[in-house]
Amino acid sequence: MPKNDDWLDAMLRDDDQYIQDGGFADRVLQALPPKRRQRTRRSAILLASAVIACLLGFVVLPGGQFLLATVTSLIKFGIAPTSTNLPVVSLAVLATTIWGAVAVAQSPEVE
Amino acid sequence: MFPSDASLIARVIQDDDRHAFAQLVRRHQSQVRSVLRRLTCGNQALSDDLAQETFIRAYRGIKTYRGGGKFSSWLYRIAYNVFLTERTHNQREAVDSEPLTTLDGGRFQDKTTLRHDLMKAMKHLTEQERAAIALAYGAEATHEEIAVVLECPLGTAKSHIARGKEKLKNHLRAWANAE
Repeated sequence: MPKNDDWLDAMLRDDDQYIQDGGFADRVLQALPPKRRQRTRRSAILLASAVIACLLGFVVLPGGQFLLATVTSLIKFGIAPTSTNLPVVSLAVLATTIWGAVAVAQSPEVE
Repeated sequence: MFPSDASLIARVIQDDDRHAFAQLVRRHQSQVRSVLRRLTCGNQALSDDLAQETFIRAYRGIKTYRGGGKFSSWLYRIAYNVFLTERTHNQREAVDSEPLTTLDGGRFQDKTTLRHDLMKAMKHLTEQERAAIALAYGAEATHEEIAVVLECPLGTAKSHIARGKEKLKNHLRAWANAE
């Protein structure tokens, strides 16, 4: 250890040694959020599944009749799909669907 | 020839290239971990956790890196913020009143003892002083870079270093006369 005024500088510099990676970078990579491409692909799969499910439901179930019956019952109970509430209901359904899709897409990926 | 930080960053931003980000991590991990080890007074487990969090935040916010300053300075700024966040969530470490272990039967011990005493003495510094010393010696940052990381004027950064060194001198005086 030098006996001049720079002994502290020497001590501090002496303590500065290269830290080996030792798997650190790999641990960081494993902890990163999923890739954007994977997120996009997952969203697309989710959306496609939802569309197919709707189409299947419409075909397998008596979709047209069901729709007609629903509209009829809504009119009967006084909740007619007027120009005011139809867009609101549609938007609510759309927003809920998108919210659900985004939530699923952003959930942590299990690899 | 190794690709520059700028080209690796561009690949991460444009293609979400994990390989490029891994290269950035490997290139800067030693200095970031070294700075955080000094900030945490030698707590290796904690400093490595904070370093990991630093790189994850860097990845998430890499689009906000403007390229005006050095990428390493940007990383140190994140590391310092991560450290401060951790400090606010956990109790301040107790300043160790135990005497330094410098002398052993009149002879100075090895570098491990030196490091131990140095880290113990670091606990007597304020966060800014510790950060300034850590950056100056752990990352070989310039005074200007330290001022940017600590978000303070250049003169204040220099004062932090000077005051920090003065405190360390007082606590490590026994090492000054060591053979």
